[in-house]
Amino acid sequence: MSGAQLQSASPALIIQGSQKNEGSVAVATAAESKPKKKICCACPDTKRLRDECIVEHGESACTKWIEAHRLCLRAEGFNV
Amino acid sequence: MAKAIDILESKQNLKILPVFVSTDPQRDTPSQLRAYLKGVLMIAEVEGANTVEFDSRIIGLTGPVAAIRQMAQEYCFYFKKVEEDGSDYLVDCSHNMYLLNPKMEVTRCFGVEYNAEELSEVIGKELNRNPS
Repeated sequence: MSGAQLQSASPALIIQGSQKNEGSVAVATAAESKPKKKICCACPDTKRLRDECIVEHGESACTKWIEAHRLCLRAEGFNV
Repeated sequence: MAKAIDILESKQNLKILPVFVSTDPQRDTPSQLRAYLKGVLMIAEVEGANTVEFDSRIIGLTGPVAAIRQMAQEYCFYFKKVEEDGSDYLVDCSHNMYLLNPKMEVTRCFGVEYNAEELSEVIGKELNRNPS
């Protein structure tokens, strides 16, 4: 038996212990007055809710969760 | 994920083909992906995850933005370029993993809350339930 496994983002389970990488291999650095998480690790709760919704219902049905995550990222200092 | 594959092969004698698709095709050239995924495998080895000879390879894929966007629509994941500042930017994207059967149908979807043990256990159950 065999199967194929498809991953759409970084294999985040391994890199740097529990810390995860961004979806991009190249690490982007941005000048900021305060230290900032990588965007892939920020706001894990709203991110999980958004991702679960998108898998179940598709992106167009999840604008509420996408917006909630975006607001959280903005509160964390990201320019989204 | 490399650890989960290793566990699957050593404990359950199951083989899967891991594929990583980048959501940042502008920067993730094939050579970048190769270097990155090699690092992932090396970390798995250093952590002593191997109990057998490690011959799995994670296939890294990229493509034009339109193709990635089409995939995002079909597999229901999210990615978006954010914080554009001159030539620099970040990518906000889903972190899901998908298990596909040989007919390229999605049998299972995993978020990042699964660790290597849990991942290999669930995949093993799926494969044993639907032998191909």
